[in-house]
Amino acid sequence: MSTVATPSQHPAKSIESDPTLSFSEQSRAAGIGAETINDFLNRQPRSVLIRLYEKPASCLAIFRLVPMLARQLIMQMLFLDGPLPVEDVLSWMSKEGKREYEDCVERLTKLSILAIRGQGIKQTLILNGVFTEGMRRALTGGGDHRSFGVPCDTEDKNAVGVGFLDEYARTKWETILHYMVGSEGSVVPREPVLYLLRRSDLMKKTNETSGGRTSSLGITSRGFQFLLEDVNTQLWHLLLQYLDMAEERNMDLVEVLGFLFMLGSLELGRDYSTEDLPETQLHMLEDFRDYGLIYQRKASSRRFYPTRLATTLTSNASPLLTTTTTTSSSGGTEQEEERGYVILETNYRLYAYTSSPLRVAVLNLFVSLKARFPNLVIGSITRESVKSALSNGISAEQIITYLTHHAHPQMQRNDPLLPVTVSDQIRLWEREKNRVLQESGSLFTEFSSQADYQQVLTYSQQLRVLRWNDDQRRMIFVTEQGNEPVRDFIRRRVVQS
Amino acid sequence: MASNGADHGGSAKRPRLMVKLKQPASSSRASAAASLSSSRQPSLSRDDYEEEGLPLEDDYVARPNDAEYRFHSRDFTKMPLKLDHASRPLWISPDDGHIILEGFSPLAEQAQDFLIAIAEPVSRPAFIHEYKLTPYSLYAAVSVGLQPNDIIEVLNRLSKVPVPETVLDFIREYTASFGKIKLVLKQNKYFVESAHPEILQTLLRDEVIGAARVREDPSAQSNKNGRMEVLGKAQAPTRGDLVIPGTESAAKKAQQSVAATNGAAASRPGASATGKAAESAQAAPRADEADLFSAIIGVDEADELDEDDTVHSFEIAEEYIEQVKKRCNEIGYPMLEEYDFRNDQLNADLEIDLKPITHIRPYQEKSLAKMFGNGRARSGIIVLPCGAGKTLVGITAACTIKKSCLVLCTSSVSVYQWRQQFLQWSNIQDNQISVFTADQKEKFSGASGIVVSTYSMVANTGKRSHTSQKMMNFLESREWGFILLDEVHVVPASMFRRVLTKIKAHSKLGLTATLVREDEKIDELNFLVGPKLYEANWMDLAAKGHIATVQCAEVWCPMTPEFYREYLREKSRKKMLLYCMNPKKFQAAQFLIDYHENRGDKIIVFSDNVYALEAYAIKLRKLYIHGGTPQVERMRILQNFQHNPLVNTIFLSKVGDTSIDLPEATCLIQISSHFGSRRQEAQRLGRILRAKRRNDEGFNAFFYSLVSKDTSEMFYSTKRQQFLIDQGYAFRVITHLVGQEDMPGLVYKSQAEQIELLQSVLIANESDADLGSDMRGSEWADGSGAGRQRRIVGSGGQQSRIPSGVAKAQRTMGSLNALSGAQHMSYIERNRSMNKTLAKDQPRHKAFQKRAANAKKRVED
Amino acid sequence: MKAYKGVLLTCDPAVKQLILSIDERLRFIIMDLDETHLLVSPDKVEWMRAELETELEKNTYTLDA
Repeated sequence: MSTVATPSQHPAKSIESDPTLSFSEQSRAAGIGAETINDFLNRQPRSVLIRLYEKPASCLAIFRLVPMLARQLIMQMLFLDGPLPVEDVLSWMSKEGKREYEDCVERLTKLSILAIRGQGIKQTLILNGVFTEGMRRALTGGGDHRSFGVPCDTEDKNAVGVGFLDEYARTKWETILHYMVGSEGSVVPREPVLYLLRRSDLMKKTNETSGGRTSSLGITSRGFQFLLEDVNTQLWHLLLQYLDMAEERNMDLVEVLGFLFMLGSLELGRDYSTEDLPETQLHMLEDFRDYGLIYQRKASSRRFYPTRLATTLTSNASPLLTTTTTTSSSGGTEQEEERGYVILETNYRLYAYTSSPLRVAVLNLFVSLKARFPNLVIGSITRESVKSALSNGISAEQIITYLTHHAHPQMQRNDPLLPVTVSDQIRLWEREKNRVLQESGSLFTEFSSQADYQQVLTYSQQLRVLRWNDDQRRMIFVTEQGNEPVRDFIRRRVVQS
Repeated sequence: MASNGADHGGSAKRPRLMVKLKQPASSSRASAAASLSSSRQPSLSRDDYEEEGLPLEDDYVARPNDAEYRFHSRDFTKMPLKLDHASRPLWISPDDGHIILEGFSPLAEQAQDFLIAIAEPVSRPAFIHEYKLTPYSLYAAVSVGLQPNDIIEVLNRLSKVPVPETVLDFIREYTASFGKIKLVLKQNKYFVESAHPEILQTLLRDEVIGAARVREDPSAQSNKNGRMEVLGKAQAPTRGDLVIPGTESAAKKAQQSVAATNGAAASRPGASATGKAAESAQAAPRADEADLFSAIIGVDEADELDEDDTVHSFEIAEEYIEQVKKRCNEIGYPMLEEYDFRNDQLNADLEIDLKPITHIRPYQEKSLAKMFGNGRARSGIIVLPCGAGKTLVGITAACTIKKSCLVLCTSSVSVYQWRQQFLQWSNIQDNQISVFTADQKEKFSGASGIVVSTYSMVANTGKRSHTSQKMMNFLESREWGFILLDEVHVVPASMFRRVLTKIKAHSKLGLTATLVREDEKIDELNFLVGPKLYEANWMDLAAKGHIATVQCAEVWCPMTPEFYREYLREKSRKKMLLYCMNPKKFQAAQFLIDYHENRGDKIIVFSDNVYALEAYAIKLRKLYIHGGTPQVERMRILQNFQHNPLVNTIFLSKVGDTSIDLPEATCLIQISSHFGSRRQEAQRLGRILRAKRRNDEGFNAFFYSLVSKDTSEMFYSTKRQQFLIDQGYAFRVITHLVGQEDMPGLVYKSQAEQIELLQSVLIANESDADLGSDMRGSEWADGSGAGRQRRIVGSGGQQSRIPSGVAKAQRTMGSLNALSGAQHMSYIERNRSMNKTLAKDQPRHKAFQKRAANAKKRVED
Repeated sequence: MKAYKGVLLTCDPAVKQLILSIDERLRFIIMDLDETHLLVSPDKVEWMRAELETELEKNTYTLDA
């Protein structure tokens, strides 16, 4: 941070924080959105991919996931009965476009959609046969592949509408988030969900058993970062964990992926049959009910409805309706709140214009809440509240970022947005936590000669296990890892010589 | 007050507002009504009263206890929001009377004016303000003429949620008993006055009060032939044509009276109507005349509402006043005191007015309007930040009342400042305003006049000198129209009592910047002086340029390992000395002084600890004042600070906390302070709020607290800031001063020097750590040869000349010594108090005269 | 040549003084290394941290009692 001493300011140095990261950088550092479905597909073996392409819905979904140029390329080749000379492609490409083209080819090759034949000028591109077939069927609708789901042919006596499904999906999804932030009276999700949350390091076991809660899971730093993401990112983060887990559980990855891609192709508001689903996918159906991706009236029901969470998996549309139908009393919609709802004052008071219990619960992670009105929550940022957040692994920077992101429009006339005193203080509280650093290891002393000392010092430096040394008193502290090798070294060299 | 039986039986000793508000509402109103009609006293003793309701200091001083603030019990989401809530600026919490105001609402300004009249401000930062309804605040609201129904109606209009039943009950309960009776001195007779005859009847049935009554006419009693006695009747007072000088309307009225000289019958109502129109137009320029807010908030109109009311009264004997007042408090009818000065024919008028060029600011007018709202002088307290012109408010009040006036302040320095201000702003004759201090005891000439003195002079219980006793006799024998109590919060209640029993005054006005008292006596002020009439918003005044904007910072100075080790070992009060004398703090002070002197700031360094004060000032070669500094020397130092371009920094002990008026100062550095005193912190900040340069483009004043890290000073520092933080000030933490390490001439840089300093601290007396004993002489420099120095250096030159010369010369000398390395040789010389270099009355040594002359030449160049 | 197993503490000078004063109550320091480093016995580290926290807490003013 810069140091300032202009006449209107103190000759002070700002409180430094860890190198300021942008929001998305922080997220990635925390591992949220670090891996995408693309990355996951990229590292799948050819055999898995080819089997995946047997399902037209999967072909279409992956087609949607690749960049525009790659899509153009595929479309160009799809109905071409033969290889495409690279020369032809390059002829309609600008110089800048060439690089982009190369990236696309690399990408498609990795996905085994494309293969390159020949050398130099004679180079040609070939579209994978299975993919071609699948893609063609997806577009023309030919064949009896059922990969786009089988709509029920009988009428549902208990049919539900889109509004219902949206509300259902939102409630289900927020149940999980509420559980994560430890909202008062939140429902504990089923064990598979808890397992996934732990496995993805969004929550971890805590020692304290808070009254009444059946499970003692607490949110982690990564979990906090997770809360700050949009629903689509959150969803994919969990689904990728799910895929990882599927591999471990020896589920057929092709079926798992196929099911995901199928969901993405379904129509919101329609009911689909469970009749022909293989065992793996029936199991997934059960799992996905917990996340609100799927609605089934009863577990034994032979039909299911995909919710918006499912149907938007592979598109850019918003997975949850942001306008809520339940904010009747507060008047303002959440969309309005979306523009910013937190006012933070120089006296550490925080006023949040919100009626969303989830938001209140998130704030509760680092704010000491005092009172709540229908459309306003009042609290204070206190040393205690920040300390408790820090002990959960939430960082000062994350808190500051959250407050900045959700600052009320009135705060916009401030520069910087948040009162400096408060953000400084939050950082100082974090710093306070780190006043004593500790490291286990061994201290070597009483070297008989300067040369001995020097030798050991150099050696431990090379091993990168040196933590502290004193030339005058000939003392060396090495880490636990360094203990054995340094001891050995001393035995071999120093004692001998 | 009403849900009595139920709640003082078992629970806590002093149920607080919150507890009370949780009581079911329905029964309380019924019993409140019942207790109004029947006699109250049998059920209420003094103790009951305390238990019942009036929260003590806590509501002013402490923040609400968090234990009562559990979120679960404070979930008001069930309250219905009004449909148009977005356009209304406030929320009201049902359990504790907290009011939350959106400071950015278009209605915020009017809402603030209203809230400040009925509630205590809790916090007023940039966006959202919080207020709290307390029995006192409602008492004050009633006393400035607000009616319960108006309070409720306006609250309801402004609130996003319907005013909770509990809050309605609370308002009704307290307004029902408060402010209903007044104690009025009319033609030197005391009357208990009320618009509610039934209350007077209740009072008369009380043994104590009944016995104190003066029966005007024995026949009146027989006339009525029963226990019900006829009360005196009169029209309720109105502000009428009373005009506060220095205001727009005052100017208008002056014009009018000139214009209307031909029509002698130019009717009063006419004049007053114009006056009023002018005033209300000024108070709310944009507002619609018919707007409800101006009707309620504009005090004069509010009084008009009960113009038709008749007031009833009975007279009480002067000798029973104290008892009656006490009794009324006990039975829940505290009396408001008002002075009908325009009808006081016994006390001679004082020829005093503001000078025509003197104008008062809108907020000053607002505060005075509360005082004179009904044409009489209400006793009470006006709270304005330091530097916001409290003095002028006091003077304007004196000019309105135009009777003999006694002004009491906290120090003799401010006595002279008050007198000087009176002469500056008003047309009072020099011989009509006198002072009574240890040094000067004079009476004014003529039948009426002004005396300025200190609390301790008047309240002194010890033996007095002859002249002093004569002066006291003079003060005690008179009847004063007006007593002005400066810095009213610092005076101990016992001292107040003595003053107020000795001095007979018709009206009292307390002035203060900070109604925070750590000594838990705030409730005494309410009854000894009167309710708070007005409290200004600091941030608002700063934004409008009336007071300076200040950048506040807390500078963290790490303790050196040596000092810290001793600090951890030390068990006595010297702990404090160790964190004051921390070498790193020394360096930070030196660096900041240097930095700000170079930007052209004038700096005051505050230290409560006199030992540290002298050590710093001498080491850093600056002038200083503490309790032991003789008056003449003080004045000389202050004058130098004000006028001498080479004296840019002075060190002050807590004698400088209040009243020393130094508008030149633009930067404050605090090196030692009185524990966690929020009031002191605010007072000190106040020293730079009136900075002369405050209206310069982009001007900022600076306020630093130097705090030794990891010591209890950190605890106190945070605590001290709370009051200012609630006023909207922000304290930045500075952990590192850029460039401090590289500063040339940085003191105590080597470990050896630091250890030498530590040793001197360790051999200091334990009493040196005291903050209170600020009256001892300067031991630091004396006895080290400096005493002789004084005589040698002394001379009778003009202030602006001599010290500059000496200062210059010494700077060179200091560096030469440093170069020569003759540290111990030069020790005495270098560690000499700069105070001794100021001009003295003795003739100067020739060599010094010559040097001074040279220096003067340099300065002029 | 000698070797000590232990925990290396790295802290600012003031905190080191505080740790020294805690050590006077119950010895856990193996060796005082320099102004900002100490070698302490591993089994007392958690206790020491708790004590340190208590000491530092004394200098903190909190609104939420």
